[in-house]
Amino acid sequence: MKRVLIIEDDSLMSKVFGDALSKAGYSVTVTADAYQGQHAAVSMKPDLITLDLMLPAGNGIDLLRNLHASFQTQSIPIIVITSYKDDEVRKEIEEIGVQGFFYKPFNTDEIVAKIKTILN
Amino acid sequence: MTDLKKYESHFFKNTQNLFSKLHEYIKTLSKNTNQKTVLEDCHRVLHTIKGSAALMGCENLSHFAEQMEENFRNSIKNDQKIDTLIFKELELVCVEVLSTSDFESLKNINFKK
Repeated sequence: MKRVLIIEDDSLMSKVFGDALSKAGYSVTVTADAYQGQHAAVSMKPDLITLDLMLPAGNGIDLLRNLHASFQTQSIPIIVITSYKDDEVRKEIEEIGVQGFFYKPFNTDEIVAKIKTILN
Repeated sequence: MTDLKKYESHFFKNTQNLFSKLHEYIKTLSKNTNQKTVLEDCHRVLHTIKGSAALMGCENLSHFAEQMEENFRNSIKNDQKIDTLIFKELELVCVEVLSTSDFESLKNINFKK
């Protein structure tokens, strides 16, 4: 079973999204801040990470850079899911490199379909 | 598309928790408005409320949170003080939200006064 790590501080978002991923057949782990997210990415080496940008105990963009910089996590595909609608931020994220980018409120079917495409 | 009705209770409790935190932050800021970490905490909580309210179709709440989020973002970015009227408005909204009893009463709050 493929494993997805959700890094998201809003428990409602992580529940809605986590339930949709579980229903689609993925094993889901949720962490609620940047520090725990980094730790879980290194220890779990999930098949895919979904990342919120505004997180406690850190910053989503810095976490994204760290995940890319570390040989332990740089090959893990990452999808950013955020309600932070700023063109400069989006450009910065895409320059760092992500496999998907979604704004909240999201359509769970679309994100699950994207994840299936990436992982299959 | 996911049926979101089953998450209404979770959203309601979660939002009440977030507004409870926000209320405490506002009280802290009323003593000293220059506490950057508390301003950032307010910004992040409002950002979270904005997103989850939009997901659950609570457009009034999401729009209100977005406006407030922008006030805090501008204050942090430009190192400017937030008008005391904004703090007062936010405090009143916190009290109103915390007095609601369920998802429907939360959704029906009129934030434009």
